[in-house]
Amino acid sequence: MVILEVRGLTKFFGGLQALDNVSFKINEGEIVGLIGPNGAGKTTLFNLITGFYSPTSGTIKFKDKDITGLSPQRICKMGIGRTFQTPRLFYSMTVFQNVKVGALFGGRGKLKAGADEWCLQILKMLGLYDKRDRNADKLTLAERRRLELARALATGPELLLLDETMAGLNPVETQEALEYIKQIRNMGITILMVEHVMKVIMSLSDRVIVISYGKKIAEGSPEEVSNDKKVIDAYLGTELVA
Amino acid sequence: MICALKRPLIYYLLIFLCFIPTPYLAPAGITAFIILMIMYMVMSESWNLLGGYLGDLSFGHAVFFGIGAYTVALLEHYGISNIQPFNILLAGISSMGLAALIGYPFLRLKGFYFAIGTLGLSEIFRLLFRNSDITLGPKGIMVPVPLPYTIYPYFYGILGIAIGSIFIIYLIENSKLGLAFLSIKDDIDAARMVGVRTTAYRILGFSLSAFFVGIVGGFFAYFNSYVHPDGVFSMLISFELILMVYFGGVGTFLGPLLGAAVVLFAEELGRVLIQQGYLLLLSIMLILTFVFMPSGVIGIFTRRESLINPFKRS
Amino acid sequence: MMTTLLQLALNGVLEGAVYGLLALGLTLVFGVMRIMNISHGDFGIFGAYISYWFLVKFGVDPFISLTIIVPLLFLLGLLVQRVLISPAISDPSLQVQASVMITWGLALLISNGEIILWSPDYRSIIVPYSYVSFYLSGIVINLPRVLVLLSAVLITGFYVLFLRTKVGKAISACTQDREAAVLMGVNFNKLAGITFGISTATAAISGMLFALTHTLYPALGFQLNLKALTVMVFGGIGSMSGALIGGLVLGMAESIVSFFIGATYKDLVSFLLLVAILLTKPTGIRGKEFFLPR
Repeated sequence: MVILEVRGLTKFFGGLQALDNVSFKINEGEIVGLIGPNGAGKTTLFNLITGFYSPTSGTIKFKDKDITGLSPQRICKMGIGRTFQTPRLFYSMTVFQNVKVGALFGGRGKLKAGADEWCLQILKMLGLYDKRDRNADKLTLAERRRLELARALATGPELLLLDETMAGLNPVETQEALEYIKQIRNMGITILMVEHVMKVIMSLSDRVIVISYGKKIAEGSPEEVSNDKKVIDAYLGTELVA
Repeated sequence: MICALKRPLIYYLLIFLCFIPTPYLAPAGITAFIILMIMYMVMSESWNLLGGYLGDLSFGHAVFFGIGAYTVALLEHYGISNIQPFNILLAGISSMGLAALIGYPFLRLKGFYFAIGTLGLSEIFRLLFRNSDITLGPKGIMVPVPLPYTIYPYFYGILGIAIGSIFIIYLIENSKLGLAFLSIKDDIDAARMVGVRTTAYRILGFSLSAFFVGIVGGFFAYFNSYVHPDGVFSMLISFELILMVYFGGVGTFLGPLLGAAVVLFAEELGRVLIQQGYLLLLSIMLILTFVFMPSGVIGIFTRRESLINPFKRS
Repeated sequence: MMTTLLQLALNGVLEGAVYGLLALGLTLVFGVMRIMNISHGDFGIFGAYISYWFLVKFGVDPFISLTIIVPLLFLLGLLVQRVLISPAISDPSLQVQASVMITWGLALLISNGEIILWSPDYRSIIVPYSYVSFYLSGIVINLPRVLVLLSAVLITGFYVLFLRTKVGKAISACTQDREAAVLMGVNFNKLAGITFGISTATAAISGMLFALTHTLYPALGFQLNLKALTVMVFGGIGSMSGALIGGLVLGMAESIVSFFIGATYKDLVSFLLLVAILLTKPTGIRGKEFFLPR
């Protein structure tokens, strides 16, 4: 089943074109990678899907419902979650409170009583249970990423948009993050992830979409994409040895 | 000390418990001062709810005090109602109504524009009420009070109002609503991203804060038995509230209470020592607070990071 | 009728010139430092009080005492910025509100200082030429006011020329993109102090000019603060031309309202204007969105 369908998405910021007629589909249960050089428009795409901007033209459909131009709050409640490149946590709250906000406001019909257990479960799953009463600004970068993930999960999403979750992590942390993402996929959540760390994209993704200068230039399996000449010229640089 | 501060509610109840015998023990002047202090405690807690928790700094909060005061004054003056508790409640409601009305257009503005807008609003009301005949303009309105005059009903009236209001504010700050407020203050876009209806909550916070200030204004109309635009819409009140909250500790529960007490003492001290120009003391307090002690007194003890703190930590 | 309107317009322009000048300094500081100085008007009135003092004590003409007042207020501004404002402010996303709060305290400090030093009584700066007037086809033009207008023009000219100098260009650069300017070698801290100093110095000149044609009292400072603020927001924060245009608009509006509706409504005009512009186009007539430094 197609969970997300993006058609003809175009975005102009004044005279600057950020996205040019981008279309793609995402199927339920997939992990789709979104790659491309910096400034290609990947974060803009995320901002459009999550409702922070409205597209200049084009449509976005989530589970067959048109979500183009809806507010971020509505879209969150409908089942799309998102993390940011630099974790945007609620730094005056504890770890637990951060997740609780997600559960209370983004969750679809979660009872207040059930919310606490739900949050603790998520924290346990992401290895943050022991730190649950620590203030959010006292976490390491990897932990902050996990917390943002936890908060997004607490909203009960069916589609999760991850923006460069691996950036700045050491190999051990990267491996841990990989495992978490796989766990999330096993929960039945569809994932669309922006990444620059090729190893991650190639090992995790079922499919990869490549964006460059606002246009979609390639789409396919990781192998197909990494051998695509257009992609190599625009982004990867040399032929990637699989 | 620190663990007691983790249960600020206990401290708050203790403080107000101590206040109870005041009119029987103290001369009328001191009691009047305590009444004023209690009034400001409620107002600074209200400002803190909006500024310290929600993150919307209002530089013209006096407008709600004035609306509350005039609601009571006009209700009495035109003989519409002389039921005091009812009028005071209406005072709160009309302030809340104003906040809800202007909340939507004002809260769409960026933080700084909102702050300046509230300042402008407060002055507009001051000048409008000064120039309007319906409000008896610059002569002010005398508010009839029942005779014989004793200070007891006023003291226990404001005490009751304060205990109730501050308790409600405490409940709000520690509820789901409080969590929503904090999330908006910390990162409004992230809050939207996890489903918080930010504009609705901001209007709600604005209205709630206005409500309590309005009630205090309504009480003031009876206590002072006279309202005048320059007195009740005064920018000094707005300034005092900001100083009280930041000195005591913005974003904490006990901070505004402490701030209210200290600032009022400082004013009295200033009046005695310097007479004219006594506000000098307050202005020095403000500057010193912001430069050396931005988390406020209570903030130093709790080291709570949840303060809305545009100033460097000391 | 025509002469009345012309007279009103003239008065409006003359008042507006001072408002515009004040707003100019305010917008300069904001543009460079993203600091809102709500004590700007108080610095101005402080300058006016000093010139009053020089006049009364030593008989020095206000324009002459400017030679002392301008550098004095420049240094004062520099000091205030270094010692008070820049150490206190840290969080960029809130620095505008933070600067308002701290300068509000400063404004009260200055005005209460004035109350202590000079008492709250009204003062007037009376010079030999205070009552000289010209009559031009039925319109009265008062000499001090003409001098005010001339000075305003001169100061504006000074600003325009100054922005062409090396320092001035650095200021313009910071206004547009502080990070880029710093990368190009601009010493921001030094520049911040200089900018603030310039703004307080011109505020002092504006204050003196205002006091030449109005009675002087401590609370005037804050009133002017708010009017300058209104003009700045109306004209567009960060825009110099906007500040001048805004000043003229406010001056005219006050003049018209004062005549047709009543003098007591004059002060209302600026606040109504402020709220109106905030609700319709907060960036002002010439302004763009301003970005805060990271």
